Amino acid sequence: MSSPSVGNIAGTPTAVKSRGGRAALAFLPFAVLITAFLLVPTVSLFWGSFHDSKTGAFTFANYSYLSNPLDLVPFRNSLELSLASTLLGGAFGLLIAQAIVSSRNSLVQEIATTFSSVAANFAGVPLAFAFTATLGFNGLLTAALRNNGIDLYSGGFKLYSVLGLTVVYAYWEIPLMVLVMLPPLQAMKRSWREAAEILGASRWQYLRSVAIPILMTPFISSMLLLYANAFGAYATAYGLTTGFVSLVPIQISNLISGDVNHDPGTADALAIGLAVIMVVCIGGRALLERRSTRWLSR
Amino acid sequence: MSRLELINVTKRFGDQVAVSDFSLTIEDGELVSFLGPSGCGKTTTLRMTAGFEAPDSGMVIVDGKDVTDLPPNKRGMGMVFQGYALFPNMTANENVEFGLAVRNAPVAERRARVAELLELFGLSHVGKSYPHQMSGGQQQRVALARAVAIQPGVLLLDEPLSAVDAKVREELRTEIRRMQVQLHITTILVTHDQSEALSISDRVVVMNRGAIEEVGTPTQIYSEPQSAFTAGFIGAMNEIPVRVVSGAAGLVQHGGRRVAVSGALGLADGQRGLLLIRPEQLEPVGSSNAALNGDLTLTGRVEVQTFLGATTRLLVRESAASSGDAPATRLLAVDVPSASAGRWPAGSQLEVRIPASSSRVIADRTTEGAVVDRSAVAVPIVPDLGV
Repeated sequence: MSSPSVGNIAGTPTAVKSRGGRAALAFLPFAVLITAFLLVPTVSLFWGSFHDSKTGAFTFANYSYLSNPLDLVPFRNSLELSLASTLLGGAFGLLIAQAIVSSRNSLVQEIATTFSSVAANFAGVPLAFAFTATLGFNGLLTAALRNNGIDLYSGGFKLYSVLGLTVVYAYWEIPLMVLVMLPPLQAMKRSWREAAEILGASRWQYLRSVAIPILMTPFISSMLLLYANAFGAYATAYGLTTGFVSLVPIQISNLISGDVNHDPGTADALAIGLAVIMVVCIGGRALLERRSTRWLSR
Repeated sequence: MSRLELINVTKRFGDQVAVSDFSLTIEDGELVSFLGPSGCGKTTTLRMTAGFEAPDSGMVIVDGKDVTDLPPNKRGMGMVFQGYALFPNMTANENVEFGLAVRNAPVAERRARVAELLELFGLSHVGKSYPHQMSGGQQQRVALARAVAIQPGVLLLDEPLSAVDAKVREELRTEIRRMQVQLHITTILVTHDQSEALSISDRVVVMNRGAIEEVGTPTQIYSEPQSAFTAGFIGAMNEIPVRVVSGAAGLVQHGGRRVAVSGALGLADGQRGLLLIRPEQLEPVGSSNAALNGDLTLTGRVEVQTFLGATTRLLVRESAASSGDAPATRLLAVDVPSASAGRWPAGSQLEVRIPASSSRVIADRTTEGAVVDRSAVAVPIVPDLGV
């Protein structure tokens, strides 16, 4: 005796399976992307960092840079450069974002957001060229200042140095900070300030007890993003200094493509060190954002 | 705990007059509601009282002292905001304590006051919770506790219940009234919810277009509205156009029939007026043994029945013969007990009696100096179950 056929009714196991299948199918392109561009390279780096690139034998030698102060210079430079550009970008970006929010002018906010979006993505060789043409030894601004009695280079400034790179990095770090801090600043409710005020708080008491604690989380989270962004940057630094300033990404590049220093194993180990710093920054940001979202959700 | 006076307060935003010549005195311990449609100026008036907006002219006086130019933090007022405005980085305890902390009250005193208020509002169990961990009702109670913690002279409530669901709203408005009476705080409640205003206020200020339309007790506002706006805005009201035959005798005419209405006294002979009567006061003829006694009756056809719970609202299209109009376009709302609503299905004929004692007549300002055919009445189809 054959059983009666049953249609695909919502909520039945068949329907649930079908929905699950469609969801899995929709997830497939993302899964392929993540696998190809994140998981496979990470596993490959991890494997390579513990194997001799010539013999293929297991080794810890690729991590010997951790015990050699000279080999840690790229890390020190990258940490300093990232910290300086993050502080610079964070401070100015926050001030600009606050000024934009305070303007309460939608046109100003729109223009500022558009400009910040473009500027935050303007990096690499074009940016390096732009700065060379502007602030290089014979750059337009350098020359103009020199003609007016201000010689940047005799004052110790060098575009092709960690200090110079800090200025160049700040060019995109500032607008990036503007972009990431605008939403939390805009989400600050006027009624919080008014509630504090009518309860008797002065402006400073409101800032200290309410505004700063609420904004601290997105601020730190944004700083972590800026730091990770600066730490991983390669093209701008290479375009500007052609590899003369020793930074982690440049050092990795030299070890992979260099004729003399060719050492993919050490490059993999350096990349793992870089990845650890990135994971700490981005993971910390993700954790902080969960809290920030709860506080600043409308 | 304070007497509040608003004297000729006016506020403009550009060319727009938000509040015009607003004058009101609120006595010590009184709860007064500002009621009106969106944009009528009630929140602006409240914000001027709080000090968040500066009036263009007029004065705000608290206990005889002019506070018009004082900043909000010097006025000694408490306020509950529409969206609670709890500080998200602070627990319920810390939120309630905030006002006392910025006043540098001793820690022991602060803690005792917070505990007392959380107890008063039934919040002791959520003292260590953050706002996002609390329900809407709990957040609103914390906001109330925070506002009264500083023992304000005047408490301002800006649509405090608009963000909570209907059941919690009913509980909270009772709680607000209980708290207000217990603490004897002079309170202004801004709301667009008439049931909220009528149920907990000592007096209601009906506002329209930036000005006071009417001030009165909830009973006066509901039962004896002085203007067509108030009549139409508060609850459902049938507005039946009449012509005053004799103001001295209280005699009006509708559809060629004359009827004595006590509320018509004082109007000029020949003047157009509106006979106002609530849907629940219209009585289907034959539904009781009451004699007509010369009361005005209207006839029509039932078009729609709307179930409201204990009562059912019948929308009745008045017949041309009854209204004296041709074609008849006027709708009447009649509330009947739901148990007997089946007697008047859609399409059936219905005759209703207007008890002379329940109706009142006001001047029809919309038709003064002009003959205008009022083709419909101000009867909301959507019922308001709260009134």
